[in-house]
Amino acid sequence: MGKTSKDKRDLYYRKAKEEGWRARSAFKLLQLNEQFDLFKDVKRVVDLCAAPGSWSQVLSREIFKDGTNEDAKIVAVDLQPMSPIDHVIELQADITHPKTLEKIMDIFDGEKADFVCSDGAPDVTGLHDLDEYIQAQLILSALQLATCILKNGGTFVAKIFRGRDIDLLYSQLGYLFEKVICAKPRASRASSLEAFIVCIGYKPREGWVPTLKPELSTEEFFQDMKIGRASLNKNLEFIDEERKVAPFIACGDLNSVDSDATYALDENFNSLSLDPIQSPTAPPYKKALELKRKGQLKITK
Amino acid sequence: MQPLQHVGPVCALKVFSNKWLFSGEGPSLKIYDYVTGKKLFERIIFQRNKIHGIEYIDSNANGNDDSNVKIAVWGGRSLSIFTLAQLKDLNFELPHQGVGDWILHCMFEDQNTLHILNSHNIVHTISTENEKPQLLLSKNCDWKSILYSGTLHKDPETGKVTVLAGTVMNGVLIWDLKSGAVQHNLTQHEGSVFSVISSPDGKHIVSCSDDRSIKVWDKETGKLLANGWGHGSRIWGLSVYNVSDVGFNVFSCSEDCTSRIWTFKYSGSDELTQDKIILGHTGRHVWSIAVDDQNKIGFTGGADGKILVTDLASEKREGYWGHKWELKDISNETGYNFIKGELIKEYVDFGYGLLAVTSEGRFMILQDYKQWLPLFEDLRFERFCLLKAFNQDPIVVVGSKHGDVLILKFNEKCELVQKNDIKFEKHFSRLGNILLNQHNDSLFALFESPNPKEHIVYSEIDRENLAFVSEKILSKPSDKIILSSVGYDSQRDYLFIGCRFATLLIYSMSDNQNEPIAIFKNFFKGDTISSIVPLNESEECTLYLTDRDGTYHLIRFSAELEYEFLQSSRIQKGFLEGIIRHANGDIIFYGFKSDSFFAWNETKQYEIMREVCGGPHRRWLFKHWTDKTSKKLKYRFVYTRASEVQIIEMGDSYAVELLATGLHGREIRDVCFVNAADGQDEKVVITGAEDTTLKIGTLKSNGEFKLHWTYREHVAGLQSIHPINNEYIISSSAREELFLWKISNSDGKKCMALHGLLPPSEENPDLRIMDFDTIEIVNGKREIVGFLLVSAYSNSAIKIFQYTYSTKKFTLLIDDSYMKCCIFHAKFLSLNGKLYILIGSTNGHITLYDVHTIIEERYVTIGGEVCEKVRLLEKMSIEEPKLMSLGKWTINQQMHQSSIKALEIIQVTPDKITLLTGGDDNALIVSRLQCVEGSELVTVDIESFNPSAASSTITTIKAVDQNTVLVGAVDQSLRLWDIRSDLKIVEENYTTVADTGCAEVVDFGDNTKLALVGGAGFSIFKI
Repeated sequence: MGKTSKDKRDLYYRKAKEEGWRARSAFKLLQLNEQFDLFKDVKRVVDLCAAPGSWSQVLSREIFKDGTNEDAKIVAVDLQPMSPIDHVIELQADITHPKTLEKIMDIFDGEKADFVCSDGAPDVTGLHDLDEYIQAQLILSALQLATCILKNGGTFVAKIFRGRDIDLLYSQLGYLFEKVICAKPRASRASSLEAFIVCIGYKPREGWVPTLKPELSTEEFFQDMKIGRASLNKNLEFIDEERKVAPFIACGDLNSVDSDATYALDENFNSLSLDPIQSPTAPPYKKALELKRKGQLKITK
Repeated sequence: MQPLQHVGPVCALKVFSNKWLFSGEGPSLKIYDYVTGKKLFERIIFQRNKIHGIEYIDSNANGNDDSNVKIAVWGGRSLSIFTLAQLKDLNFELPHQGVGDWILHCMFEDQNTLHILNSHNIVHTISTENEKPQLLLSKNCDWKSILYSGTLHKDPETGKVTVLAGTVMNGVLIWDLKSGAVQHNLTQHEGSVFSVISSPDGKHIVSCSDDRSIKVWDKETGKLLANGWGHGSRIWGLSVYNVSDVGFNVFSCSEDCTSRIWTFKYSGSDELTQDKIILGHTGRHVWSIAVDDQNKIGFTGGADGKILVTDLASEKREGYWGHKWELKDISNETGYNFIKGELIKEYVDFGYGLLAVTSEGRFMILQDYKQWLPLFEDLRFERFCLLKAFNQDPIVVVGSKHGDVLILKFNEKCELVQKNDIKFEKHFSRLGNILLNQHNDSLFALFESPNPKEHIVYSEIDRENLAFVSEKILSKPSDKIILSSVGYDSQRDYLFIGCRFATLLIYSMSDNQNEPIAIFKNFFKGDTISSIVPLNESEECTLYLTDRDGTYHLIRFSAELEYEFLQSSRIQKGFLEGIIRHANGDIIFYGFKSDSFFAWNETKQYEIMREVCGGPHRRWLFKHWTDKTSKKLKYRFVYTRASEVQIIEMGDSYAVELLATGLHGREIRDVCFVNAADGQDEKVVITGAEDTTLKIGTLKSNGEFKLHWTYREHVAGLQSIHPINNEYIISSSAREELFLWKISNSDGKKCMALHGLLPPSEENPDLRIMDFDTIEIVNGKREIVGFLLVSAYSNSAIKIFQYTYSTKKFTLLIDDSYMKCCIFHAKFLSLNGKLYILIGSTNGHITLYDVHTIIEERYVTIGGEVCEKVRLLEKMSIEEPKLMSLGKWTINQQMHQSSIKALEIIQVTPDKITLLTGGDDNALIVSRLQCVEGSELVTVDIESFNPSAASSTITTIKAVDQNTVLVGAVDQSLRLWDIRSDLKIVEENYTTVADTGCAEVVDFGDNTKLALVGGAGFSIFKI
């Protein structure tokens, strides 16, 4: 899709460029907030898998609105570097590493977080079951950090793909939060599996102190937490995990822009065509592309 | 519901004992004999998971005891370990096991010990000695980050087990299982590592990643030895074979839909050489790969559900012959002293060898395709010479510019045994073309002059004395025509001549008339008719036509020579030169594609051969025949490249070319069916997918599905397909494409041809036609004359058109729009004999419009009783239609929180409809649309409601009967719900078709109902 047709098909993409958001996903968090009032009285926020930074932008604008809330702190964590955003402390780090947790705690002066979010998604392969598994692992990594850093009653929001095993995740999150809701902002296409899990009221099992240890895999970390994840048994019995459907809430006004609809453009559209706010980072196949450009790659179709 | 058939991504392949292939197709394990191509066995292993890997250990010293073969099959978190005997015993319940995490690979250390590598880089070792497996030990290398790939390898000499692990970021970790010590952390890849394997001898490591390179590493030192660049997308799988003293080969498969053969040499280059690219999978992704190293056969499994067999040693097979001659080689062999600029102008294949002529009129023979011999020199044929050979007789016709004709006959030793020299100037001054035709054991030649005023001469040649026994003058139409191909229908005695400008001439040979009995100019959009193949056995005159531009057609002529296109499509890319009707019914095309010559099986959608020859502009010939014993297609391809003559002849193949045909290469978006005109037990099924193709096939009541044809008319991914009746269907997609297709039956296959298309509203259309519905229009005699179409668009537009079959025209009657949201569904419905349209949109609303009052000037609604189709009776004396709008809706009611993704209606009584909706919000709603008694009002009332009918978006609802519906969702659940009073689940089922998006319930009568489910794959269940 060329720039023009993407502009035409996707009004959110266009609006994001006009309003200076780094990605259209900013509207998803804005609509989630409209519905759940997520940022009310929030002081310490962790944005995981933050690059290119559109959620951090939303957090920064909303939490520091009207110059109030000056003691609030936002930490954005990603493996990739990110260009600076006002009021956001960037941390280029691995979210599964214990050191990262320490660094965030230092920034928060030892206080726990009110709000942890993650809009991260892995590169999809196209093999649905594998992609869903990897996405679930990414959410678990974010959740692992969240369980260590969230205060009781805190909120966790993450991107999910509503595939075949999403009910396992709903069930397992139910052990950790008062309320687990599957939310779909209008800015997220109906044709996409994407939705967001909004987990309100963090309440870890009494007596359980989550600790990140490098020798534990995320799976082992959560097996210890007893939230019903599958585990290794002596005789390799396959035990069906508990499944649960989380209530669904559509967010954003019904009159807001429909991300599936095609919109007509203004007449003066051409003069308005905008470049994206943030260029994509270098892909791993950069060298392959270079070779192809030079005609050194034998690609026959 | 009982699963009957499944086509979908092939995620696991394993060669068993160099004779069978084990394949994982969805949850099913299938066993094929790849020499005969037969499927030997099939069994479902898992309920929810797809098979991602298969390993086995065979402890038979010699002998064939199936209980000595232990097999491990895994997929996702599931694992099952059993013996071959247990697998075959359908009374034996296969165990369902797991290690609590995603499994990447398993390896049998011995008959009773299995190592299992999971995606957190942990290896669990288990004992499989007893019925219940027992965990012995878990091992890790102190690095538990998530892996994308990994394999276990046992060194054949030392017996040491090495773990090769591919991480999600750049790394390949090599560690020793026993000690847990990391031997290497190889970091020269970029991005996720999708496969890492060891060479069988354990001396090298081969890996691939997101960076699209294949890397070969020294196992001992960890040094990067070579890179292989070439794949256009991510590489998913690797296999090493043919390990020798000098190097080995790698077979790779990729997202770019190709598999490739590479050579790695121990010394010399730091590059892997790419020897061959194999195309044949369609859509995207070749997921799985396996090699029979002993017989040198490669196997690939794709997202298209196809299992393709590749001969990895085709050049070493018995009967293979490949050679090239430079001009000087030919000069040496023939003894001709070629002068400067002298070229091989023409050559033909007469069955025992080639006859060739140079630009100086020197004739020579390539005896047995091996040795060049001089024949004679004849200056009449210098610079311009026509050479044509008969297909089944060793007879060649030679023509000069001035009309000199030689007819030559050869024997098996390639000796010229007879020669007839004919001065052929009676009918014309110059000769421009000769086309040959052989039928009923008779030989015919067609001579054409470049002068448009001079006629075509059609002569029969006596194969004994090589003289002309008869001749017929065929007059040319007045316009300029250039002959390109010829075909003969022996049943009707018609001669077909194909020309440039898509022109077809038909001559009747049985009468004395010289004029063509039919002339079709610009017969279709195209240029040169490159081949004509009549179906002589067909009751009606029917023929295949190929156009050099890449399209092909199946055309039927009535006795009055009125024609109908039964089948029209085009190949993906390239030029078509000819068509082969293979003995097994498959249709095979050949032609050129960029720099190559190819042969392509259009029925089963795979490439049979490809030769890089430099492209279409050259001298070439392709001779093909069916091997008498193997029934396989054999061929010889000769071409000139850079003045070298090159020859390729296919040898005897060890295995078949294809084990599973598969279906679409990307997600199936809709499916529909119609009744077959013939045969009670068969339905015609049409599927459309994200890969932009439509496919037609037949479905039997036992679930057997057979693919017939593929259509590439749409340029955007399919959105909806619905039938109008048993003869016509409509398909729609993005870019405002809406095509009307007519279904027919010819050459033993169901086929479709485009009957009409809805012209897009914009020059550069970008609207998606999301859904549509039709209602048939009949005339006073109750004959069907057309239909009314309602189409719903992504910009909220709703349009109603009238289509008339006789004029093939869509007339816009109503143009309006709903709101500003995307409409997902549109349906006509009838209440109390009045016509309405119902739409469902992204805003979760259903909306009802009364169209009755708008169209009543033109139509009367008839029918509408339960089980009777509602139709529109066209009123007499219809004025020109004027464009109208829908007006205000009758009902606009929110049902779901967000998009209505599934909608089904069941007519209960003429004034009552049950409406079922399913949404992005997981909810399933049963509501009732009905007329208020004694009033014009229609009401909608929710009867029952389940907010969590699935754990994810409900994408399809299909009525099974008046009381039961089938509901499919993206969570891959397939549930039968009883919709009377309260919603109750009747049956819970699960499909391994991911991205579940469409379904259809097919009623075969006799209580046989099948459910078809489409998404990333296609499943057939018996309800």
